[in-house]
Amino acid sequence: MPAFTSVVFWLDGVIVPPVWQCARAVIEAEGVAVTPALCFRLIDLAGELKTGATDSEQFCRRVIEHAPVKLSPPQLAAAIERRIEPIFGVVQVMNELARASYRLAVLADYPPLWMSTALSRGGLERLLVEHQVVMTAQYASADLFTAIGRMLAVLQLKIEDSLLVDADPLRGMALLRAGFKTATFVDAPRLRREFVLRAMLPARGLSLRDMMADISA
Amino acid sequence: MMVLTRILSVLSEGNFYSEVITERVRDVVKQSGIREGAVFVFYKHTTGGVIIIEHETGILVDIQDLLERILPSAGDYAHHKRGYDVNGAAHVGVALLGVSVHVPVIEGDLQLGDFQELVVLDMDTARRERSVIVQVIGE
Repeated sequence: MPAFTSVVFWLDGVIVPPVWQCARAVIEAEGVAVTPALCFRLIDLAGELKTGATDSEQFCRRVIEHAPVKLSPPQLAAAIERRIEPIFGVVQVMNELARASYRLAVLADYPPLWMSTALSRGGLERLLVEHQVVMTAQYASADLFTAIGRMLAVLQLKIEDSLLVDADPLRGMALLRAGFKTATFVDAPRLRREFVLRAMLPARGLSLRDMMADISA
Repeated sequence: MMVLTRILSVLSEGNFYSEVITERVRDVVKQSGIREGAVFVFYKHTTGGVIIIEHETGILVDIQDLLERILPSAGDYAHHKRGYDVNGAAHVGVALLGVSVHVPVIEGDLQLGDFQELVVLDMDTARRERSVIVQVIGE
């Protein structure tokens, strides 16, 4: 089993919800029904943000074109920003890793407008070796693997010493095939157990109940 | 005897998309109020299923590799001769994996092992909304 010295978290979906889910929550709070077709549209629009094909302002304008909310683009942007909160328990697990002397970094394809918000919540910035890395690469492509390798190099992290935590199972599988060490994120208790199994964190047991107790301690 | 049925929606990206639904199913069991019985989890489509595995990236890669060896995704399938779609590998793959699972419910909770997860696995070639029927039966 490789001895990792650093853990690299994908920001969206692991530390904070993906942008499209934040937008979905705002739309639902406005009383507009969110159909599966609209969800996939939001995912696609957020995908354009990830590749840099659009910016936050355009994203909000286009969301409003597809979802009849009574908000202006700046109001929607502000409402989305308010939804960018750390996913339950993840920051606690990151704190544990930092205390155990692992170097922590973030890879993200969040747009700049919301990036600092995401990183400032929950005292996250002080845990990271670097504040942010913006990814604008295509999904699960050779470009993405190259870009991630380059970003790790910028952070002075070695691929072989780093465990990547990703909420996207398909991207995680693609990264594993490309030679990266990856763990798929589901929630904080399961994430913590992943670190226990890799002998990176201690535990009183391996059940999810044990993990919840450790996160709450 | 009581029965509670719920339909879960899964936004699948296809192409071996997986999603852990353990906690969503657990919530349905809790809503049901049923203390002793079983929960039936059924994937309502023909190119994927609900399976019980440890949801770990390497295991997912291993399952995909195994299926690719015996059912190449670019293979020539008789199903394709109909000219409607080209997802023969997914249809045959699900015949091997199955579409549903049963889990015992004891003292009002799912009886899964520490590493057992209820996982939707979609092998179709396109993204779609998928439905999973969760039916809790017991008393």
